[in-house]
Amino acid sequence: MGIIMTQNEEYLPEIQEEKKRDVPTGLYKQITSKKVFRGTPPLAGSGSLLALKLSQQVFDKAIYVFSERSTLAGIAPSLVTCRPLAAAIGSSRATKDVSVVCFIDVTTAKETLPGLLAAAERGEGLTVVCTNTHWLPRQPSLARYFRTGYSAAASVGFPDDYIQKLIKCRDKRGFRFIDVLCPEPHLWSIEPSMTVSVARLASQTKLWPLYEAEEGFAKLTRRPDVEPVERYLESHGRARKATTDVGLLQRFADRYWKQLADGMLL
Amino acid sequence: MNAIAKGELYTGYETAIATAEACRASTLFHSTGERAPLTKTTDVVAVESGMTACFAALGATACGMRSAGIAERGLDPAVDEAQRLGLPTVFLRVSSAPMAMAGLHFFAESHQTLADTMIMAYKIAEDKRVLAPAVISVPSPAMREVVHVPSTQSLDKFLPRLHLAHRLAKEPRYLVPQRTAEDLQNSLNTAAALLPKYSEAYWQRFRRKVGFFHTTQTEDAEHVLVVAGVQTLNSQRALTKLRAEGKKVGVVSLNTLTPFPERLKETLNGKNVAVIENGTNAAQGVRGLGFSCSHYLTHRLLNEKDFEDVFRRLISGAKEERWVSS
Repeated sequence: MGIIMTQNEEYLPEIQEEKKRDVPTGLYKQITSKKVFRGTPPLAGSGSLLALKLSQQVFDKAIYVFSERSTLAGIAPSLVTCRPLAAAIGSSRATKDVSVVCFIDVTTAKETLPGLLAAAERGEGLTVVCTNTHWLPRQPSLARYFRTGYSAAASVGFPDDYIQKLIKCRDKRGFRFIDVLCPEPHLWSIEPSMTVSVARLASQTKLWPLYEAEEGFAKLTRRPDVEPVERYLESHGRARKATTDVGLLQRFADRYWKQLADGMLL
Repeated sequence: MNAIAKGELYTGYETAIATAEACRASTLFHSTGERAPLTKTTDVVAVESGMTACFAALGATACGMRSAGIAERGLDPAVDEAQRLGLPTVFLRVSSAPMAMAGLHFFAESHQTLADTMIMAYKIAEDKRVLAPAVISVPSPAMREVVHVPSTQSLDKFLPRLHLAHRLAKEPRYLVPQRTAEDLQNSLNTAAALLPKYSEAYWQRFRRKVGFFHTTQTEDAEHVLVVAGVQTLNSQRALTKLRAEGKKVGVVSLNTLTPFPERLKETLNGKNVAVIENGTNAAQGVRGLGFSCSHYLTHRLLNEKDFEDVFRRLISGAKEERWVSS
């Protein structure tokens, strides 16, 4: 009985947020109840696995392209190469009627940033999902670089917000980029059960604002109940080591939030 | 039926596009910065780098569409990846340097040879027993030459549409690099067996040949120069000049490096041989030959006088390895 109580407490914030859902509850349930993985995948509590699962649930039929070094490479049916972005561009040019989704980790995204920007400028018709597993406070999302096409910062802590962005990507044309915050238990030194709560806290403390930008104009998509940045720093060891100057971090978070609320990318 | 189209004055880049269109290729990726001519069926895409062009071509082939990528450098990882994925992509390389590569490697000595070789490369690479990428070294892409590119209709019987069994499609499918070096060797052996067969079929239809190599006056020659691709024309000019002086010289021009022409050894047997290679990747060709010979390296297009000089050194009996880079 006690265990069930804890589970309920853990999902309590999500239940409270129910009223604020961007996606209608019926559609949300319909999307998230779709079965995508055969058997039980490894990586308990992995944020990027959750990001992939939701993406597969939203994109009914799509061609997936993964990086060779991605932990997701063997999990979903896909093309696996060492230059996923370029291969995805080729696939999207060759197939007109099927969506192409390219999953890259944040390291690959940073390495291929010129390629990403060039693809955005050319308006290549593909969706790039960057699973941000190495994020630290004071690092803004990669979505800020795109002045053309659709770009968004999402988080696995707010699945309905992420789902809504994925639906937009599915229905839009041109270049689409989503940077998803994906806490990883083995990288962040957190319990597998804490993935969602840590991701939520990053957005609640304004350190990882959830926004989308179209043609360079930003729009905050979710304004959760704001918490001070200390809450995030205290939540786990990796964040605690990230900075010593809490005041500076708070000022950064406030300024970043205000800029996005004013419609400006960094 | 008029199988051979009217000749057009094309640059190397335009030849590649025209041939890709004739082969019903869906896309051609390049990073040359040239203005794309109007094409009806082929999507000509300029991307930011050669490597992106090659990987994009690979991605398009993975979806079961014929595709080509043009690059000056950055080809190697894409060729390697295409081999491991078993994808018959054709890559055009704007350089004549031989490379240690994981696929079929052809040399084109003129734009006409480029067009023929490209068709042949698709034909062999897409064979179910081969399924390996092909690289074609393109000669001087800025020059214009008269090229006869076969029409799409006349090519349809020789080169049917690509049916790739393991392509990505709407149905979920895994496409993971898993082909080994052994698979590559098997592919190359099969390709070596297929090339004469397809070459004959191409000759029957279009009256042009794509073989392993071709020779110029080697039957009675004592001194033979082995060249590849773009160097062929000037070496043949030097040969004509030396033949007029009564020197017994000959030229062998390679069309393929992998699969290696096995009959080359018979042709060169008992002759005084020198090999000319582009680039710094020394002794690629020499290793394949399996016997000692002079070895010249260069990083540019040699002119008639350079070849004359090399021939005279060969005739004087020099066994050496040196750069020709005046």
